[in-house]
Amino acid sequence: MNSKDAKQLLEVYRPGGADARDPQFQEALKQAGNDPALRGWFEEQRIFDTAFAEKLQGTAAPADLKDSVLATRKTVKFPLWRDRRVRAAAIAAAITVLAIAGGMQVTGKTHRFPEFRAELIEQAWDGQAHLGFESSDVQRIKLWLARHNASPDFTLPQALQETRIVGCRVVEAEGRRVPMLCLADGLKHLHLFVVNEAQFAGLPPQGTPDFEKCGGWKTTSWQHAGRTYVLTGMKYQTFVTKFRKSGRWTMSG
Amino acid sequence: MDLDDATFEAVVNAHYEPLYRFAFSLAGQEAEARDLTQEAFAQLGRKAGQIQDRSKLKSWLFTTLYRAFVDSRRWKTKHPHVEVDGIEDELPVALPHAGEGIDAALALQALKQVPDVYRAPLTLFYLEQHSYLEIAEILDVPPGTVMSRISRGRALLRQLMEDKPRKIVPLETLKSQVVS
Repeated sequence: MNSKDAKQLLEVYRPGGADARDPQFQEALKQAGNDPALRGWFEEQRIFDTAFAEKLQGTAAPADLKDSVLATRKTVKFPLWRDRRVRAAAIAAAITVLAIAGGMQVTGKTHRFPEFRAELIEQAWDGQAHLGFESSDVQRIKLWLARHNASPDFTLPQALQETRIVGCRVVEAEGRRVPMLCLADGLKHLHLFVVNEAQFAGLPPQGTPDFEKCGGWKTTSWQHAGRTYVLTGMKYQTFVTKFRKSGRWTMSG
Repeated sequence: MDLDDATFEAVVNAHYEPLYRFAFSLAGQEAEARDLTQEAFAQLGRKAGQIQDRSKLKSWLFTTLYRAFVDSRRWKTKHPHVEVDGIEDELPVALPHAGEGIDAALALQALKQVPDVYRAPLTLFYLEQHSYLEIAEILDVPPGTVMSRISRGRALLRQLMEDKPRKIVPLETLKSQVVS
């Protein structure tokens, strides 16, 4: 190896010694030992690289970053009957019994809104990781949703403006990727699903929210500007006072 | 690989700082660097079962983060109406005594001026977390390309450092000098 080849290799020699065991680098280092000009150049390079590497490796991560990362893995514990697999098995068994008893033919998936909504809610509370992304910044949430092939187009309705966004995830139901926003309302915890261009039978009528109990949760659903919104996670009393009786519910979302 | 809560926490403890440094050097902003770091771990939570060889975990995380960064750049190009770039580039917080001998702020500002194509391999080079082969896998380019990009990137970086604060040479001039 001549000095020119050695110099080319030593240009990418790492200052921390990570490359010291590589035979090619060892040969280049040997050549630098024999060539004073190359050695001088190499020493000067190493001083710069060492200082720069220390500087980059000394960049401090935000103090709360680790907690934020760990928080995305928090799971929600539910009783057995809320386990998707348990319920799915129970439902499958019930359908089988009904089909046999009535001589029915089970004919595939339904595309009705009530079933779609039930699937969304079941997915959202299924005990897996609660949030895919934790942030209170709407723009960052929109960016994250777009990165995950979910539509970032949504507007919080006026009745939810006082809540704080905690994060989001994408829920898959009926072949759709539906954004779910997690909202904190004091100590309570709401989930808002935003479905674009939903083509289902049984959608709530335009301008009028429907209020349903679904899988143990109170929900309200409404349509606005080509989107269907489903809100869930409220206790019954909160639901009634805040959204039905107070008159604060407005369809600006 | 199995990823129970304790394992996940151990993985986070081991890798979140170098991942954040990589993310910060790519994005230049704390908020986006945080998002990218969170995203890499969130994907780990979802896809851990696909990782057969646990020794590849670190590279998998860096690869995932880098792809998320590339995707976000593509998305921003397609959706310029979403104002996510309104935040000025920020300087990171440096640990005490890190890299004495060169000015921290100048060094990291200079790195930000190096084009993405050189900055990513250069950052991985200086973070010293990976072999050249691993860097090539993370960036999805041949090892020879990694070497040449590091070499060119470093030449750009040094020139930027030497020119500061006396004179800032337009980046296009530097690129034409170094790339040609």
